[in-house]
Amino acid sequence: MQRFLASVETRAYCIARFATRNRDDALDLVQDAMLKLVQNYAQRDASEWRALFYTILQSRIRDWHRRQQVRNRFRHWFSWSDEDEEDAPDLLDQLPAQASSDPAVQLDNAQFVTQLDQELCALPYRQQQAFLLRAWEELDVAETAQVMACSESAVKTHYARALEKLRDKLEALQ
Amino acid sequence: MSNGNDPFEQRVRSALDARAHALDAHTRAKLATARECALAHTPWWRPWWPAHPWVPASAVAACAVLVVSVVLVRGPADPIGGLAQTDTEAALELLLAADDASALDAEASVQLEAMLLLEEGEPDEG
Repeated sequence: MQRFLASVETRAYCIARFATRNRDDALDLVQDAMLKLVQNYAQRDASEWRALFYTILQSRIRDWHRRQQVRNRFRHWFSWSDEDEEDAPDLLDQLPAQASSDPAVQLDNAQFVTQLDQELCALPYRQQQAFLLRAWEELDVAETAQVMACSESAVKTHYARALEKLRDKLEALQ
Repeated sequence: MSNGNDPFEQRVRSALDARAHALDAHTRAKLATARECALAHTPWWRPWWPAHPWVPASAVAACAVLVVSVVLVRGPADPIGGLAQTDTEAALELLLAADDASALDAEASVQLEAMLLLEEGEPDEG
């Protein structure tokens, strides 16, 4: 369990961060998902942990979005500004260590990562999560449908639309 | 549906991997702490209660010492009433001791007076 959690925690954090756009909320969601997995499913077979973990995480993210919708209604009524609560994208300090020593290649990669971050954040939530779970976590369609609590055809649709949008925006940078 | 071998998808995946690997140390430390807490999965009070029973035991002992100290310093629960009762009893004892002689004299004089009355009364009856 220790090794499993260590292997998924950074990717899970990034997925939660894309969904919430808030660092502290993402950390809370990941911690909650870890706790629930250990408490309720530690006895299950290790091959099931990945899907179970992401199911819990997606459930927590959906709950978070519901709470945000309620909070946003109140904010709208009272005209509260939420500019200070959303983290500014910390893209430059998270640029990957570059394999290439060519400055031009490094710049291209940095621009690609920056643009990818922005485009992923701009995607609708369901498309974004379907894309991350399928393309990054490499869950199959059935697992993604189970994790996102939707049908397999919906997963295929979300994934195809997300891929199309990202391709449109990012292929020029390649 | 793509099978994941598309160059664009591979580049996206590698960019996301690089992003995850480039997380700052603070976030990594927080994630590690979250993992350890999840693996321990103990409520907030559990870390010290079963592993260190001397902690609650010493807290109970300290409370007991405090209560005993307060009781000893302050005396009985109703010190004013207690003192007043003690003072009254002492005063009564002193009063009785002081009036002892006069009380006896008074008793003797009453007896004497009664005897005189009896003696005076006998001729009257006769």
